[in-house]
Amino acid sequence: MSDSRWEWFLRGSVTLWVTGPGTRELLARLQREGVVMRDVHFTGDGVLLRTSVDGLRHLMASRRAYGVRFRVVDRHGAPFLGQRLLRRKAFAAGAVAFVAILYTLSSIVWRVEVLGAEGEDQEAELRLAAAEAGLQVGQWKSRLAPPVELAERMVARAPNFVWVGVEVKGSVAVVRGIPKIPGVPQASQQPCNIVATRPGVILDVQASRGRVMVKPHQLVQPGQVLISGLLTDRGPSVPASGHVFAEVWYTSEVSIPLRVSSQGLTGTSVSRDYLAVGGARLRVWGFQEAPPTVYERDRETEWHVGAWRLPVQWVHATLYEVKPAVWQVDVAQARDEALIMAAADVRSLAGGDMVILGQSILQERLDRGTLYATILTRVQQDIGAKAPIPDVGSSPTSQGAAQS
Amino acid sequence: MPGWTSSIKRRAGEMLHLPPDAVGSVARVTIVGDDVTIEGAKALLEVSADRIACDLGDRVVEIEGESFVIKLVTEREIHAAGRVRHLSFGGGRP
Repeated sequence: MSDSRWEWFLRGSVTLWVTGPGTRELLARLQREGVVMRDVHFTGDGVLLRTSVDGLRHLMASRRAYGVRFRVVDRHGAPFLGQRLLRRKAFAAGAVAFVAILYTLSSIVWRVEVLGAEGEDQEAELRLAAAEAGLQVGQWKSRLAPPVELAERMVARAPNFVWVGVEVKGSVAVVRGIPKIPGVPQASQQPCNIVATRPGVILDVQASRGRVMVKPHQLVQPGQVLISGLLTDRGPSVPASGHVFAEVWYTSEVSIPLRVSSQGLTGTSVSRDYLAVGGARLRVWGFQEAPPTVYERDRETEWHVGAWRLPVQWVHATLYEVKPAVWQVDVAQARDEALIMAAADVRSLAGGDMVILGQSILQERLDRGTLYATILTRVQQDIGAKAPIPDVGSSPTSQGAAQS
Repeated sequence: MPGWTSSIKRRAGEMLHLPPDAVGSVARVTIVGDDVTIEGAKALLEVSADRIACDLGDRVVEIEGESFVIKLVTEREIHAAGRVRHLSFGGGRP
């Protein structure tokens, strides 16, 4: 029994206009024979119905017996569609050509997208590598090597990339590269000395290469050679390296006020809502009385119509209560604070690793509620820095500034 | 004796609490709004825009109404749409 719609479409169906005296009896007869009919409409002098091509044969066979005439009004389904297509050859050819062209065009690489390249040079490098590996615009997708192989070829041709990945998405080829991070430059093999950058008293010398020129407890001046790259007076020279730890003195001038006044939030707050029209504000909500001194923070909406900011905005303001606070510091506390400040000062001056060995107050003066102090901080730090070996003949202890 | 298998089927259906149309060859006439469905029909006796008569085997159902459109006619089922005025079940096959 062919009554599913798909089967009806495949086998074909017809809409019939049936007239005649025995039409209704014929319908009952067809039903008994198992003919499937759909959409039976009764009108004044006839019946409009849809039946399959098989049903049409039954109808033809018994139309004489019932004195019925019929006319085919409409044809549906694949067989009739096929006939119509055969009649319109150009249309059918166009449809086939369309599919064929679409298929052909979709099997060409139309765009090569490069991701991950930093700057135009790297992108150009990656594009060139892709083209050399056979991946370029206009290439047939079927002629492309497998992505893994393409990526291998590209990474061999692009020396500035550490990894390259290829992915073909439809007609777009995505090339993803990870550029090499320029490595740390190799330590210079140029012979050099290690010289002092600051005056200090040597505590410890840890030389890994070169000749140690100083001893612990020796006072050194900036520019003085600490570790020499010259192994002998006229012999081979090496890049000296090592750490020279010395005690360095720093003096800091610190002033600490004994009476500090500040303002602090108490935590209570009052909120207000305003409607801001142009420059004016209309209070809409929040009529609580505000504390005597407040810190106000506003939050304004950004109502826009397209790019135009509306002149009417909503403002939510929060008023935080502020209370001034004053506290008095005694001299001992101020002194402790001065030492801490001096340590912080030295830490920024010294630069790099350092250990504070000790602090002492050289001088202090109390003047108009402020403690002025001069503080000496003793620090252990590495004072060595590389410097080129001066020409033979010049003084080995030449004075000069060196970069720490 | 045709009642032999059908009575077993009816008994089994009663025991399993199945609806009778799921077990035996019992006709079912459903009218939901303007949709009329006749399942298990033996033969379509008469059909027109205001009257459908259908043999259900042991009785005849006659549906009268207005502007009937038959959506589907198959050997066992008849689907129709239209305003039903009168529904009656007649005796055996004439």
